[in-house]
Amino acid sequence: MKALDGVSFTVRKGEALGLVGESGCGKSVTALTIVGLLPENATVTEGEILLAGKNLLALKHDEMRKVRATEIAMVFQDPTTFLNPVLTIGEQLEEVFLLSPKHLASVASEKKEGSDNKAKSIKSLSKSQQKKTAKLLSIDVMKRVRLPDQERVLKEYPHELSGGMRQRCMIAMALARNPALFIADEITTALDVTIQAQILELLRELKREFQGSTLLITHDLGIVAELCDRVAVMYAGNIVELANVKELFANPLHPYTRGLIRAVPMLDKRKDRLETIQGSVPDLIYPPPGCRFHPRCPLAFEKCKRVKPELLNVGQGHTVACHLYEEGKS
Amino acid sequence: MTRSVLEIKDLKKWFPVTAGLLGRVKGHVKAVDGVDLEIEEGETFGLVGESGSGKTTLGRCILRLIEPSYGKIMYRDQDITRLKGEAFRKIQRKFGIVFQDPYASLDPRQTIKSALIEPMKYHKIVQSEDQAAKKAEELIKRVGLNEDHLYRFPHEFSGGQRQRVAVARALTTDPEIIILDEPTSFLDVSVQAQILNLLSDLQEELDLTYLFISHNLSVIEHMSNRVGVMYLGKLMEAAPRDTIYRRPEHPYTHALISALPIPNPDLVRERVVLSGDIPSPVNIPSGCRFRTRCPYVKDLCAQEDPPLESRRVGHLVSCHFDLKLSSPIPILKT
Amino acid sequence: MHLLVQNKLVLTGTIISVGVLMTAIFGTLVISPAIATAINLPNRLQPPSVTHWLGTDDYGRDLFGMIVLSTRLDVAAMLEIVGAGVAIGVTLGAFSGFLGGKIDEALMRVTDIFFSIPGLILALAIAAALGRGLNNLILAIIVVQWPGYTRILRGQVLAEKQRLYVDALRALGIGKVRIILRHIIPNTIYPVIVQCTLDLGGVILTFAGLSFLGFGTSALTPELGRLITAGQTYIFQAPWLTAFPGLAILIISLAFNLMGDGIRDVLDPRLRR
Repeated sequence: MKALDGVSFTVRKGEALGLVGESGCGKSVTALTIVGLLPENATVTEGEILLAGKNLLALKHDEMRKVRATEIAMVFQDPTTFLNPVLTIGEQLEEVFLLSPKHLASVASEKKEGSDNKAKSIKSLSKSQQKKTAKLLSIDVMKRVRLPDQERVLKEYPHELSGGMRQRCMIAMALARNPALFIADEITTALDVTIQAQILELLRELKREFQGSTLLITHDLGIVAELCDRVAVMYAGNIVELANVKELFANPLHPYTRGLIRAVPMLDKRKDRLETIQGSVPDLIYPPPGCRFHPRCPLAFEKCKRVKPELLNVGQGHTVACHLYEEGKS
Repeated sequence: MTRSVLEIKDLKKWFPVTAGLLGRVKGHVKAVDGVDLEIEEGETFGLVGESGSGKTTLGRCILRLIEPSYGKIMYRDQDITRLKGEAFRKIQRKFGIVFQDPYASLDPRQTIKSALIEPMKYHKIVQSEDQAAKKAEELIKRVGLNEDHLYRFPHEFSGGQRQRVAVARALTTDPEIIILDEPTSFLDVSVQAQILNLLSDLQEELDLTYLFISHNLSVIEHMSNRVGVMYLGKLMEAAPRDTIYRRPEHPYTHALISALPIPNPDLVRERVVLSGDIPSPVNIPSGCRFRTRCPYVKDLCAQEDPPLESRRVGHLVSCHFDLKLSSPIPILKT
Repeated sequence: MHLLVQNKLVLTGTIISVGVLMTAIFGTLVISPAIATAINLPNRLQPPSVTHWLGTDDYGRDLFGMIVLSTRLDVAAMLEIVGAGVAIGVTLGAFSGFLGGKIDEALMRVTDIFFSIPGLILALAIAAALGRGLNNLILAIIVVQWPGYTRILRGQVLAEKQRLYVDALRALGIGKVRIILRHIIPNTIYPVIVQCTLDLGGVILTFAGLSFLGFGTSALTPELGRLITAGQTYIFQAPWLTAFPGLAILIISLAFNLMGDGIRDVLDPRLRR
């Protein structure tokens, strides 16, 4: 089953790229491939994943683990599978800090009482000093994610916290690493609306502070409109359109993108009837030939059934994979 | 003057919480804690709420899948709260339900045809096998599927198709009112659109009344004529759709609508973010249950539980104060 | 089906079981039932020979013929017992589990009582209490069998009634009885079917065993247990009298057990739903 069939995109430094699509489109698989956490029966057959120039797919197991610990952070939809139920939040946060010694050492030197402010190497810090520093850093990052009562939360176990708070802990653990890339996979889908609002506001604020890049995976176009700089729309294992967020909503080119936007009920625009995309998502074991969307596309023509469209640049960073936009057709 | 099809008066459902070897009752989960509601013929009443709001429990109480602890359910001026036996069965035919989970709401061992015919034959709505078969065919086509789908089993269908079957089944008893309990929550956006359109069409064709329960505010806005907002077992506000979405008077409604992300990157939002988490229905705050998260809370709120009152015609609010809140939906700003 | 064929033991068991069933049904076409009453005292206790393949018993009857005739009785008893046990157990379990409440509580206490006494002894006690007669013996064993099926089914029903489609049916106004009979039972009966195929072998042992002890059957009845009873006295002079019927019981019991194993393996993946 070809879950991903030629997916290419770049996430620029400091930007938030949204990966949007319905179930089965491959957005989660993409994220898991980047982080190297695919299930055992999955293989990457082709392609590269370059993080700051380094091909992640070529790394050995240990090296990839190090990358996961310090350079990429991923947060999932369900915090319960991610948080260890038998460790307190404090223990889990500290664990993250103790994994990145440089960070620890620089903070230790900052917070060290007394006049000696020279940066010390990590080896000179005693175990208890390391732990203390890790605790301070934990409290710090918890404040950044607006977790109240930090001292108390440090001592609690995941099941004692509410869904919203668990998500904040996950985000805290992700930020603790100071990653170059932060991947969020449907992190608000399981939350109540008002709690989701809290997390969305938090993410908005963090976006201003956070210097790394974000890959935001969601099926919710509203979240994409609020948080992302650029958006990639996925369908059945391919990227069908990629553009600047305002451009995508103002001028969606791919018939699937259009269909998606028109199918969503929107608060600010009344629609009498929702436009539907007829049919349903194809079986990825026997995908349709040519363009995978052609059986459901109202504008499909002969070529669509035979040839798979490539991503074309139509100007201003807007790319779309559709035969309609080739050779000056409109 | 439209008649009310369904009226609910002070409905409560409390689940006892037992502890210890002797099973002593320690407290209650007050899932539904006093709801007054009226649904008029031909309208879609949207019931909105987050976890613990009690909206799903309310739906189940109306159908008597769960027995209410207190209160009244009236169907067209007839008290059906404690009705049983044959009399109740006749009333049951007037109600239909579509559940959230399309994968679990059909018996996996029954063909679609059998599932559709069963209620018809049980209630003796049809006189013969032929009649039943014909009606089943009509219904399956009406929900957008074909005749040969009748001979298949549930597992052969996608989620969206199964929901269509669920709708067809709800229609077998010629109901007047259908309770839709999160009917599209498990479906993809594009499939959701198909089902919502189907429901709208059927409502027009068959003069149906809907109680549409959902946590999805966009869907509720699209489908409803009137909306009720529930929080911890009670209605905080009930009003016509546009009023609720553009001129809400209860701070919870206001926060809820303002929380919703809108798929328009050109909008600039000043979002109301509520502090804290939703309290547990076992430990409902005294006085006004929303006070622990309300940005406008005063002392009175802890002492007295505000009743659901009519501020204007058709607009019910449960709040001590007339807050004059701004519109939660932002104006376009480029 | 292919799973039944894969495992050699299961296959053997199934083939023999089918063979036994065939013998039970069609045996009388080959062997005349008159043999049971054809007492031929001069001919008694003959060892196996060309005329009497397995020898003769203490009444001079052909042992082979007697064994063939016996299968009819034993297999019929086995099927009756398990069949009735399942019917009672499923009905009680389904209604009790679905309706719940005090009746369910009471029924569970009753089954508890049955479980607290070892099956064979209980059957013995009941058979003794009921008095002589084949039907009483069968009844006694049925009484011992049904609680097990009740328990299994009730457990399944408790889980099944939580399923959403049951709510949907209730909301449609469909009555509880119909829901239980048309939906709950068909969806929950697999574990019981598996269990009862496994029980067949055991039941026939119990039946033959009690018959051996003197319950139910009279001396002349062609029944395997009975034959062994008779053979007891002559165990040193005519060992074939105990050996062959005993072997027959063993083979039949084992065959059905193996077939039951196979059926369970075939149905097992479907049990996990």
